Amino acid sequence: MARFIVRRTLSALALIFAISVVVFGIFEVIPAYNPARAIAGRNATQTTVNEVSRKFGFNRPFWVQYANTMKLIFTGQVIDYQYDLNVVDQFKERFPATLSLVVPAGIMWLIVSIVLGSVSALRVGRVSDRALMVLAILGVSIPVFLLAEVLLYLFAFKLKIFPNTGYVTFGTSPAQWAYHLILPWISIAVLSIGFYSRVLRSNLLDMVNQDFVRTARAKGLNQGRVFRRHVLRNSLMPIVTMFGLDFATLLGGAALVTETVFNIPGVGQYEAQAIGNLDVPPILVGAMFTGFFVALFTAATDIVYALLDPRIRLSG
Amino acid sequence: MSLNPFPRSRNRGEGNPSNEDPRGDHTSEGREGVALEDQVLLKPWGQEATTAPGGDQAEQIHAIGPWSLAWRRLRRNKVALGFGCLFILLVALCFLAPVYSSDVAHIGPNQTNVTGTIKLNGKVTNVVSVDGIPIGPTLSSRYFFGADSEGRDLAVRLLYGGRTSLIIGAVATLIIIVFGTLVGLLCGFFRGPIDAILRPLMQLIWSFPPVILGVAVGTALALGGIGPIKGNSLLVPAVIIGVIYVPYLGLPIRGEVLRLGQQDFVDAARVQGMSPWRTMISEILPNAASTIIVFVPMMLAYAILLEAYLSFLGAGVQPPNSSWGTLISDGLQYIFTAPYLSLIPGAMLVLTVLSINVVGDGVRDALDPRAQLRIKT
Amino acid sequence: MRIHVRGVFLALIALGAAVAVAACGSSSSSSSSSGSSTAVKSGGTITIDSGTPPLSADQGLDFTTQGTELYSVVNTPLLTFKRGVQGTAGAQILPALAKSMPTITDGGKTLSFTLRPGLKYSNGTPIKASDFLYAWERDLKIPWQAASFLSANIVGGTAYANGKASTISGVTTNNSAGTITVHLVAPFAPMVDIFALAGTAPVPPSTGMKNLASTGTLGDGPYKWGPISAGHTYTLIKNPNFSGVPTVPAGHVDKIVYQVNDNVLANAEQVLNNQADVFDPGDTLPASILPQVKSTAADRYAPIPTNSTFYFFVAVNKPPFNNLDARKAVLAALDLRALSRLDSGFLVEDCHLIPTGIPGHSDPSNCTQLTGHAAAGPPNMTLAKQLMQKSGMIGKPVTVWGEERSPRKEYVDYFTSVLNSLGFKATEKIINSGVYFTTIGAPSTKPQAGFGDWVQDFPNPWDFMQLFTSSAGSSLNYGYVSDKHYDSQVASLSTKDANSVASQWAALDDYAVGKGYYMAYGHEEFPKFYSDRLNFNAGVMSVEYQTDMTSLALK
Repeated sequence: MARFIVRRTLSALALIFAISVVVFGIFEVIPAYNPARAIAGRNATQTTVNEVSRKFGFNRPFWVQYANTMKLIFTGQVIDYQYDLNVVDQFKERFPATLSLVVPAGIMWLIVSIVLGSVSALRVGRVSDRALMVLAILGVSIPVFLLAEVLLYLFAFKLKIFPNTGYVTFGTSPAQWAYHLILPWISIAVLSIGFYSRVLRSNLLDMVNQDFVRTARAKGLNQGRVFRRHVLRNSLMPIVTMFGLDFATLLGGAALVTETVFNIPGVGQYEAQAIGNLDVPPILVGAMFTGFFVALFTAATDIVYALLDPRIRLSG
Repeated sequence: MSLNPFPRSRNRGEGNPSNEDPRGDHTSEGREGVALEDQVLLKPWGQEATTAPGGDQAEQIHAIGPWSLAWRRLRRNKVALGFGCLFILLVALCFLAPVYSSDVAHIGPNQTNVTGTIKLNGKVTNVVSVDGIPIGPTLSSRYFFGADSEGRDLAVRLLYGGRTSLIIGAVATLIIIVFGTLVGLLCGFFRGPIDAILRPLMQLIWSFPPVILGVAVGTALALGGIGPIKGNSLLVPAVIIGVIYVPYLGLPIRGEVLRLGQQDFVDAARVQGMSPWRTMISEILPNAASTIIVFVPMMLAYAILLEAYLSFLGAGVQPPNSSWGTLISDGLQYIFTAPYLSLIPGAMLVLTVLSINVVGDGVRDALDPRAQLRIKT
Repeated sequence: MRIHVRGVFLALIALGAAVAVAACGSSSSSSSSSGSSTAVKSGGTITIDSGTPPLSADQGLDFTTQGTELYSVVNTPLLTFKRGVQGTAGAQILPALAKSMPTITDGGKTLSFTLRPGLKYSNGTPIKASDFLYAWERDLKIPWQAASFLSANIVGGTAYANGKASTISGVTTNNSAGTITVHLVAPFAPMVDIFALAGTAPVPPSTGMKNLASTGTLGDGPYKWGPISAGHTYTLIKNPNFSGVPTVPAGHVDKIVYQVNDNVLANAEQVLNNQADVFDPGDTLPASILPQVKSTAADRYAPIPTNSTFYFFVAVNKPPFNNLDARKAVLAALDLRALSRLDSGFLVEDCHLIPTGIPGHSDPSNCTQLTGHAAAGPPNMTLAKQLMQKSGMIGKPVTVWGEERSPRKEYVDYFTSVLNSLGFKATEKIINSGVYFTTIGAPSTKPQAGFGDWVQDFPNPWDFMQLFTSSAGSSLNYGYVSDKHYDSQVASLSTKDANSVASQWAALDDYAVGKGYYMAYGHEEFPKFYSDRLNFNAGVMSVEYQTDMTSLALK
């Protein structure tokens, strides 16, 4: 077990390192990338630009710059080029907002997917199954930015049921916090519900014909119990893996479109801004941040698998 | 243990590689749970039909290849067929864009007409008002779906944009299928050093936040292009999308090939002296074929959606080329007074992706009969 | 000369008002200098919605319009532009922390200031003359975005900026006498404008020489900084220790909260629904909400002309635009009305660079003979096609650069399609707004054509015309214009007071338009859009300070 954890930690670190190198490298290759000019401002004379370049080390070789940037990141001192803010502090400040967005949405979509997927599988072939599946397919066919804007247009502008963007911290008012987040939660959940419910349905249908299920039914066990204890539990494992990955990327800021459209000051919004401004430090930290969560969650699900399935543990 | 003539690809869900155990060799065996009504004599994949087991039955039952069987099932699925026709119709419309532009609307897709006028209900109206508000859908030959803020014809741009989105989607899908299959085959079959290099690489791309990768590269290329490829070539978004999604096919194919590689018929081929490449192509590939086929519509849908997403963020299709993504993105600023500018391209996009997904589901159901079994309650 | 007389007259009024204020002991005296009714309410909190944040709350770094709005009421410099008035009246320069306008000697090369007595920062610390020198050194060190105004003109400025000197040798201060003497490299009339910019305001010598984006700096203004969340929220609160400079009104409201949301449409909605008080004029009011605003909020909305110019530049040092006929063809084919529509009608069409609110501007009616068509009239395609034929540049490829922010992207879309209709093979390159100007300004980019804009730094024609001098460098002169006559004119006219040589500035503008050095198309109007909580007439949308914070008042 310990060997397993050590191996996973090493591969996680390797992953984060690889991501950071790739991101840094991409920006080195861009010919028109001019961080010195971006910092110096629009009216800057060439002297000012050179001075800035020297101060920040933009004229040093690639690996020197990379090492410097990594050092700054890990000592928590790295600054973004556009607004001169401490990137790590920004991430710390903004993370609660992203958590507020992603965690309830995740719980929502997980529960709804399980319910929808199960109902569909149980009623396979019937109208309710077909209808639910069409809805699910619709969910995965809508791009999230369109969905977010249409929700905003319909419910916040036309019908005025929900507020028009904005974020209220939980501490200020839990009711307002939830009220402002309902539309964003829906935007995120719809896409995933469509996807997960269909996966679950498909897994359930596969499971149902396995020998052990037939055996359980032959033994005369109650249908509901068979379903819950044997079928559902086994079908959920792959769902859990996928959920771990999706959740990890969302925590890292993958919900940037939703955050931007609804003006939620989370890490995604910060990354979106930085991407637009070709501002490398936040992009780099964001990519590593996401990589960290991805590694964490895949390792966690692997550990869960290992605990549940001794075969894996032994061969690990 | 007889040769399993119908080795099933355990096509779990949408083929999301996270379904696959990280070590890749825990996908469980296929099952023989074929419904009675479909129990016909099955021709093994890629092999000539030899003597049927049980000679008498052979006279009463016609041999049907598994592909024809799947095709039959697909044809019975009216919903999938319906959406398939819709998709073909949409594609045809989009490729007729130049005809529409020159003969019906009499305006090019990038031709601005800010100070132009047209006759609407007998009155001469500004295409774009002095305050910058464009006219809405006229449902006539010119400006059928209305104009955008620069006086361009939305219907014309919609069709040209659709063409762009579909081409990018198709090229990306092609890249994914070709390279995903190739990488999956190589890794799964040869293992060893090839696997040791390619697999972590695929996992890196796969864990990389696709947005950051896509947007960073997309923006970078938009700024400078790479070598001979100009920044606003359509190849750029297509290649980016293709590269991002190769692991989505590559990792499952790898898992599939690993599993298939353990089967008896592969051993038999090796014993017969078949070269590894030939084994890969003539024995393993056909068995993985159904997995690949199922991935085609799925990847096409993903590709089109990702292209829209990248274009929305400014890292996909570059102006003045339009795609559904850029049209939606440009139109969103007018969502309160001219909602049609973003909603119509949005509807087209959703309808197209929806059709692809429904057809994709139909194809998967056709290739995997167990999905149609009922659970007796 | 005209301005000086008026200046003295208005200064007397302001002085009189200040005396009256001191006598009555009331704090809401600013209303008298703004000329509106005396019954303006004091107190309250106001919110401003903006789509773009300032680069920094620190006036030692920032030089954006968003930032200027804020720190101009925190950090008062030696001089100030007239506050509390709209339009060209706001271009007048008055003494602020200085007792009076500077004494100019030595043929225009020396400026001497004397400070008013009793000046103190918001924390009560007295302001010394040497603090000004410290602030200007700080500007050069950080560096201030407009640092070149100081380094290029003050003796010893460049040496200090390059780290070769320990102080700016051209500035001497005397703390006991409260005097500051500045020696210029050469006579430069706009120097008084520069000393009215908040970036030149004094700071305590304990202020670090780095960008203080999360706290701002201390100053002697009607307001001081409250909590700042850089990039999101900036709070201004009343400064009880304001030394009461007569030319800077004390302000009515107690607290101003400036919040950033890049969804400009949502901002406009909020102001429309009275959930926020001011729509920041630096943003464009989206076309989609304009009809609603005009119909339901007509009493609290007005477009205000500003000193800004939008233009297209072309690279005049390489084909195809090194050919004069090709440039003139573009001028003839450009329909300025189309561009105005793309800006929701907020653009006042004009082919000239110098805005109509600044002395030295040329009459827009001159455009007809310069470009071939009236500024607000249809383009002259016949002339354009003739000129294209003559130029021999048909079929030449052109890449037009633009930024993705609306409506700037649309301007470039339109320009590209005009170039194509003339026979060029034009394509666009749209890049992100955050990096646009720095990218086209980089010496390696050498853009062939693109969008440019300029909002005044201060109301002097030199500020606009200097953009196309060969000494401006690639970061301002995107088209690499290099014309000896133009350069020498700008150099000589900038040594004299703008009003005295106004007609010569105008003639130079006409000359440059005729040569196709820039394809200017108009000056923008900014929206003055308030909620109905605010007293619309009392509030001032000033050309220099945008939303004049000292004028805002609740009803």
